[in-house]
Amino acid sequence: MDNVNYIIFICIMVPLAMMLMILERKARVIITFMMVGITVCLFISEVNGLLMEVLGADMYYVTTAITPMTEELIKTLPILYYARFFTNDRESLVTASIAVGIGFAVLENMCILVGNAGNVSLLWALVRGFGSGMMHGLCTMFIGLMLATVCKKKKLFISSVFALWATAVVYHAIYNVLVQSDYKNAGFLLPTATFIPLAFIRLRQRRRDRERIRNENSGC
Amino acid sequence: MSLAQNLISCLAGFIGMVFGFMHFSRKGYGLYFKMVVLGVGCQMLGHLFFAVQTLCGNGRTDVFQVGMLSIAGCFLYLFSANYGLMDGLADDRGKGLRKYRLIALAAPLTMFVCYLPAALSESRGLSLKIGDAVIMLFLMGASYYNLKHLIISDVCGGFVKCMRPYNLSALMLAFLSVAETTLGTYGCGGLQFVFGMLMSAVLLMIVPVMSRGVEKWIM
Repeated sequence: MDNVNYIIFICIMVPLAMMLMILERKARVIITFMMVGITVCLFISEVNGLLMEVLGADMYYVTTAITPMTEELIKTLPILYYARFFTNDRESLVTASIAVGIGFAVLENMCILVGNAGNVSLLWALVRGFGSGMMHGLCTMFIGLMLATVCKKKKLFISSVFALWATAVVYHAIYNVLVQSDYKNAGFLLPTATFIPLAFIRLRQRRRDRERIRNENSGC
Repeated sequence: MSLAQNLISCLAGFIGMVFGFMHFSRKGYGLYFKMVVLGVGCQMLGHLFFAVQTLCGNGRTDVFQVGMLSIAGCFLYLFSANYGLMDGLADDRGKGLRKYRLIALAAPLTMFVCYLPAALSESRGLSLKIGDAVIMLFLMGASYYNLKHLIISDVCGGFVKCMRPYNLSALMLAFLSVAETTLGTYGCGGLQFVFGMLMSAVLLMIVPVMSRGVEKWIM
């Protein structure tokens, strides 16, 4: 049998790529970055396999020290490229970065699902979705959000990129350490616990914006 | 660092970060403030990583750990804030301020001298030394600008003067980080604990100190 990761990759990518031609601009950007995320995931699976062979390190060390670095690095590159050469608009960058993270998580979860098809359950799906799926989305969202803030100043942009990447890597590594320990429930809750205050702030911000627009309109 | 030390530092960083986030929305709190808060948050994540790893019983101290990146990240945020945002205002590149630029080199040089015993120690593996080198690079860069903005004469309407307490705190954090690493290499547990606690205290107060500086400047 051919490599199952490639089979899943083709199954997901072909319809997305075909539909891209008839989508409007905003939706096209989202789907394109989702496809980038899926491709990055496939690429990283090969890179991680290669690194494990080269380093000869134990699985635990690789998953807590090496893979967070490689995964976050390669996930950051397309967002960095987009921020540097296409746009510094906050909404566009955050949307694109979330799409990369979610695309990455989709393929990763699919590959793990197929690899453990006999042992999965609804609980497994919830844990994967709220755990690693959210974690990948949050890590790339943080990078996209902060890149939008710093990319307007060239001096700041260059020096901040490594710091943003380091923050995402450490967060990713904390998750990986927790889910491989006796405290795996805490690991699965970590992304959700990070997400809730962020969502709350965002919803409050949206409500304020709506009120401001309403006040401006009524003032006119 | 022990589990307790990491948890205390993590808590201190968390309080500092939450304090910073609560001040984000206030008028006049710009990107400079955000960068420093992110630096504290990054350091907090590093301590959380080491605490979690120790708690899970899988902490290895002989090889490079991802948590070390948080120290590099923290000082890079502080470096970015001073180099990318403040230095253009504080230093006009003229000859009059040249002496301050030269004196400020004392900070990275002192850092390097403090770190040298750890670098020469045979007990530290190669991967740890590479990690240390990356951290030192950013730490030296950040400390250069912190010292420069601490001593430079104020030519930008009081901002440098108001930010002096913050720059002093950031410089202390950098020195304590180096001292803690060097003492840890030579197994000076007691002193390492004291320096670790001092680091937590600085981590706790750095954002409020900067916030006061910004408020003073706005007023």
